[in-house]
Amino acid sequence: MATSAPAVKQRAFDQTERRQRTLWGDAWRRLTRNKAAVVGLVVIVMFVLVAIFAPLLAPHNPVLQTNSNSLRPPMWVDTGNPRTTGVPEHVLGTDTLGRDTLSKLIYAARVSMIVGLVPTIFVTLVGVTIGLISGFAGGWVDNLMMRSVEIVSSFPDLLFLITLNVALRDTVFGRTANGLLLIFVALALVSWTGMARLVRGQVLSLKQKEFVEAARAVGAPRWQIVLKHLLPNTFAPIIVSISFLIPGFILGESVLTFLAVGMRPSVDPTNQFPTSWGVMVQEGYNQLSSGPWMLLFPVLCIAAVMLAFTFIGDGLRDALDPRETK
Amino acid sequence: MARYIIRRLLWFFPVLFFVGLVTFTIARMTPGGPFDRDPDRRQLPPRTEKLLRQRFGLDLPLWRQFTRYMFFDIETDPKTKEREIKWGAIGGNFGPTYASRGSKTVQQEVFKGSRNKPSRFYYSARLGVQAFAFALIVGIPLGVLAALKQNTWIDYVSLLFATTAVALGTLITGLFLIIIFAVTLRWFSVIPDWNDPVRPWILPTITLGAVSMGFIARLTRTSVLEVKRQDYVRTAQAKGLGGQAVIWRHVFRNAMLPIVTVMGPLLAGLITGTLFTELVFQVPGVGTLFVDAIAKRDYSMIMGAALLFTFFLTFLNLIVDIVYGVVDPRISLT
Repeated sequence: MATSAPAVKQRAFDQTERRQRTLWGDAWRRLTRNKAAVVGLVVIVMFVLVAIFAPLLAPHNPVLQTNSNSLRPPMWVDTGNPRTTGVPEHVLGTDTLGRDTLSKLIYAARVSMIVGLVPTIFVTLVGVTIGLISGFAGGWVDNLMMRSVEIVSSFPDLLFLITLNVALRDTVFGRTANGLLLIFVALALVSWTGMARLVRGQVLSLKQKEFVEAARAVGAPRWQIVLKHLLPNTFAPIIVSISFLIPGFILGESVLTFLAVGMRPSVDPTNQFPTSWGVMVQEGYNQLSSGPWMLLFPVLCIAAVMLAFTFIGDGLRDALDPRETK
Repeated sequence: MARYIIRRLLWFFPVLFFVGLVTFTIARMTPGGPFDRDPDRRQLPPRTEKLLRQRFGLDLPLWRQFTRYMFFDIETDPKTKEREIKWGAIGGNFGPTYASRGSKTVQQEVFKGSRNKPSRFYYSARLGVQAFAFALIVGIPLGVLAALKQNTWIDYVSLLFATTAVALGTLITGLFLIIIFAVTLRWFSVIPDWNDPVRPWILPTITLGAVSMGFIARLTRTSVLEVKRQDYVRTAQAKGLGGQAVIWRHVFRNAMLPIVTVMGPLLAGLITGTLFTELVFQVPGVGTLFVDAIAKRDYSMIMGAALLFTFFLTFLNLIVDIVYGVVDPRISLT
C-alpha cells in the first residue's frame, strides 16, 4: 500500500477504506448470526473433540468386562438394593458385561465421526466428477451417465445395503476394521447419485451464463473453464449437501448395525475404535426391559448429532443463498 | 398423456431387470446356502438335500437359474414329453420359498393370511396408510399454523418440532417413543398383542409417520409464506375479502401444490421406514419377513422382496407424477 505512516494512524476516521468483503466472509457472518446453527456447530465441535481425546476422557476401558458390575443403572438411580443401585464410578451405568456406558459412548463417538467423514469424501469426489463431466460434455456422454445414475438410484438403498453387507460380511474385505470398511463402501455406493445430479444441474445452468461464454470467447481451454469457472461456482450447493450427507451416514451406520449387518464390536482392549453408537443401540434394544439406559444414552447422542447437523445444514442453506434475504 | 404413461411403464422393465440382476448376484456371492448344515440342528440327509436342490433348480447353471426366476423356463414333462412354459417373476410367480421347503410360494407368504391372522402385506400396508394419514393430518395444519403465526413462539415451537422429527429419522424416533411410552410410562406393552385392533398400532403409526409429518409441516409453512406474498392474494384482500376466505380459497389451495410434488420421495421414505418400524415394534409385516429371509439365505424370498419393493416404489412414483399433472394443469408431463 502506498499510504504514508501518518495516514495509517488516522485510519479510524477514513470512511473510504472499507474492509474487503468476500462471498464466503458474508456467508460466514450470516451463518454465525443464526443461533440454531451456532448451537449446532458448538455441539459438533464438542463431539469431534471428545472423539479425538477419547483415551484421556474415558474413565474406564470401554472393552474391559467386570462381571460383578453388570447392568448397573446410572449413578442417580437408587433402588435400595446395593446390587442394582447406581455407583459414582459408572456415571451412566454399565451394560450386561459390566462395561462402562460412558466410556463406550466416548469411544463410539470416534467411529461415528469417521463414518460421517470417509464416505462423504468419496461421494463428493465421485459425484462432483461425474456431475461436472456429464453437465459440461452433454450429448451422449450426459445421456449415458444420467441413465446409469437413474438406474442406480432406482435401486432401493436400504435393500442394497443390507444384501451387500450380508453377502460380504464374512470375507476378508468385510472383516477389515470390524466391518467398518464395508460400511464405508456400501454407504458411498448408494449415495453418490444425488451429488452427481446436483452438480450436473448446477453446471447446466452455469454453462449458459455470460462469464462462461466470455471465457470461451477469449479461448480458454475446456479444462480451465470446467475447473476455474464452473467448479468454484458449484461449491455453495455442494457444501449444503455435504452438511446433510454426513449425518445421513452416521445414522446409516447405526441403522445397519441395528439390523445386525453393520459394525461388530471389538473385544480387544487395545482397539482404538472398539464400538459404535449403532452397536450400543443394538445391545440396548436387546436389553430393553432390563436396562433401558443402555439404549437411551446412545440414542440421545445420535439424536444430538443429527439435530446439530440439521441446524448447521439449514443455516448454511440460508447463509449461502443470497436470494433468500429475510 | 397415454404415451407418457406407457413410456414410464416400459421403463419399469430395465429397472426391475437391473434390481433383479444385482440382487441375484449379491445373494449368490453370499457364503452359505439355504440348506446349510447347522451342526447343532438336525441334518438333512444327502439324498434329501440333492432332491431339494433339484426341486429348486439349484443344480442348473447360474444364468439359467436367473432367467428361470425372472422370465420363464421351458420344462419337458418326463412322461408325456410335452413342453410347457413356466413363467417366473414376469408372470407374477416369485417362486417357492426355501424356508417352507417349497410348500409355499413367495406371493402366498406375502399376500395370503389365514383365518385368524391377516397377511403380512396387510400389516405393512395398513401401517403405511395410517402413517401417511397421520403425516398429512398433523403436518399440514402444523405448517399452516406456523406460517400464519410467523415469528411468534407458536411458529418456533412448531418448526423445532417438525425439524426434530425430520432430523431424527424413523429408527431413532421409534426407539425414543418405545423408551418413553412403553418402558418408562408403561402405557403400551413392549411385546404387542396384535389381537387388539387399536393399541399396538399407535406407536408404530406415529413413528413411521413422524418424518413425513415434519417434512410436510416444514414444506407447508414455506409454501404458505410464499403464496401469502403473491399479488393475487393482495388483490383478494384489496377486494375486501375476509381473512378466512383469503386463507382457505387463495392461499391454502395454491400452497398445497408443492406438497404433491414431494409425495413420491415421501412414500419411498415411508416404505423404507416400514422396515425399522416393523423391527422396533415387532410388527409381523413384510419388512421382518425380508430381514429373516436374508439371514436364512432364502434366495427366492430375497429376490421376490427386492422386486416387489422396487415395483411398488416405481409404481407409486408414477402415480404421484400423474396426480401432479392433474392437480396442476400448468405442468406438462411430456
